[in-house]
Amino acid sequence: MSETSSGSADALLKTPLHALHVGSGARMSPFAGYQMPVFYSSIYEEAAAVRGSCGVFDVSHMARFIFPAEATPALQRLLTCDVGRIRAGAGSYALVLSEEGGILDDVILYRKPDGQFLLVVNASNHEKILNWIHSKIGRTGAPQDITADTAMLAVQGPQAQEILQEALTPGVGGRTAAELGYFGISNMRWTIFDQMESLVARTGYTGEDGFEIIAPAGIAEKIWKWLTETGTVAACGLGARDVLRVEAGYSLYGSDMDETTSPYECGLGFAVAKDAPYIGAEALKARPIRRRLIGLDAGSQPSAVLRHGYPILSDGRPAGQVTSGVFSRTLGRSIGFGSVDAGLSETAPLSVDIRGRMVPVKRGSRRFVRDRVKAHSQGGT
Amino acid sequence: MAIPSDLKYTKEHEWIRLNGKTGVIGITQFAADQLGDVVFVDLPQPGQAVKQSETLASIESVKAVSDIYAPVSGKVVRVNSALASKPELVNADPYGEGWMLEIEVSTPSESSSLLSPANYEAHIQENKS
Repeated sequence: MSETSSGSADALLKTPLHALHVGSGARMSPFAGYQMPVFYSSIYEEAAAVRGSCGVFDVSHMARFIFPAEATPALQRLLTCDVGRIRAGAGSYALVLSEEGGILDDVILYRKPDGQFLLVVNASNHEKILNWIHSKIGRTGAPQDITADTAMLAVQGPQAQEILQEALTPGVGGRTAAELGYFGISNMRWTIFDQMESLVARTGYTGEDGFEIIAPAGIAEKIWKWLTETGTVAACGLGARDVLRVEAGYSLYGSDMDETTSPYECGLGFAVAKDAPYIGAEALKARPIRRRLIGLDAGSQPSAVLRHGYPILSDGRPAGQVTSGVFSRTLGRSIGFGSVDAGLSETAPLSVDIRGRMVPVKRGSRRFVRDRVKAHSQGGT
Repeated sequence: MAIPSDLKYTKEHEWIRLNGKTGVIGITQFAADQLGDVVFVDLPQPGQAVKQSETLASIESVKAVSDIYAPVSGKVVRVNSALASKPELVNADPYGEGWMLEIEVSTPSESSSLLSPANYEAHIQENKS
């Protein structure tokens, strides 16, 4: 059998939960410079747990930067969202663009209850974005990188609120898990762990209701154990996370977008605030839209799994390529995203070249699983 | 993880159960565990001839497509049609119900290049470290 993913584990970083993952028999694999769990028992069982009840992911590899409250103008230069409109306790999805309007990263910016900003950056772009920040706003006003000192856990699924409500109480001036709106963020205290503090935001990458918790590295194991042993939450790996995010229509940096892609070429126009003075704004206005990111449905046969890089054809001519794909057991269908020529007619017949076999695919919405996220449209109230 | 003593193995984690002129082929428990949930096994047509170390089949897991190589040269005589509707048999019972295909061995001497159970076990221990 040909090798799947493997590599030297020596130079890889470990999250505060690494020992627990290894101890529970997780299949570990290198990801963005970290050794990360891909699955514990079964990717599909883990994905089903998140859709049906609740699962927890170790996402400590994602970079976390803290900016002072005075950084508003600097952040407005760096990010495509309207930074001034983010109130304390709220957050927003945003993009970091190059001077040419290409995407350097997709991020979430929160304004903590104390007025400081928390920027969550993709693990694969940690160094790149830190260098970009330094080059654009200088070292004074540079953020504090709290990635190594903290852990980040994503608790996702229809039962997530109920489970966290049991273990967390609001910090001073904070809100309960139930009171948080989408992208809302609050300080909370673990009633079960000596009132230790964590930041809790209502967000996720699965298409389910859920929360992301940023906790001191020292209590990460306690939280994980409580969730998985007493809280009946399934330990989930990055494999399930990928299946769930494709089902929910969420793009992944490096697969569905990169520096050659503008926001409008990968369905992220919603993340660009009109008239905001971010880097790349002028270039973006003049930049032609060459591609579109579309949803692809290759039918119910698991023999037709779509994979990144497979060519998309229309009437036998090259029309683009698959950027992400999974076989969804939730839906019983082979689904994915494709980047196709912007000029292509919406009704043009499409097929994907699956290693020499032409498989017809239907074009549609990228949100294959929808209407499951609570308060999705309410903003961070 | 127990490694069946009646099989021969390759470094690429295929096994073959030789029985006279034929041999039944599958992938090892180690390989199945590495792959995770198997979604689809692309098997050849009976009658297809294949040379040792050439691609014989492919196996699609949630994360990746992997090729399965022929442990020895031969001609495919039978494939496990149960895998079409139950690919998860590869994960659940890789040495039993998760078998993939049977070949008629054309060059019996090639089997001397295969790993014994003890050598295969040593090989996966090396792989893990």
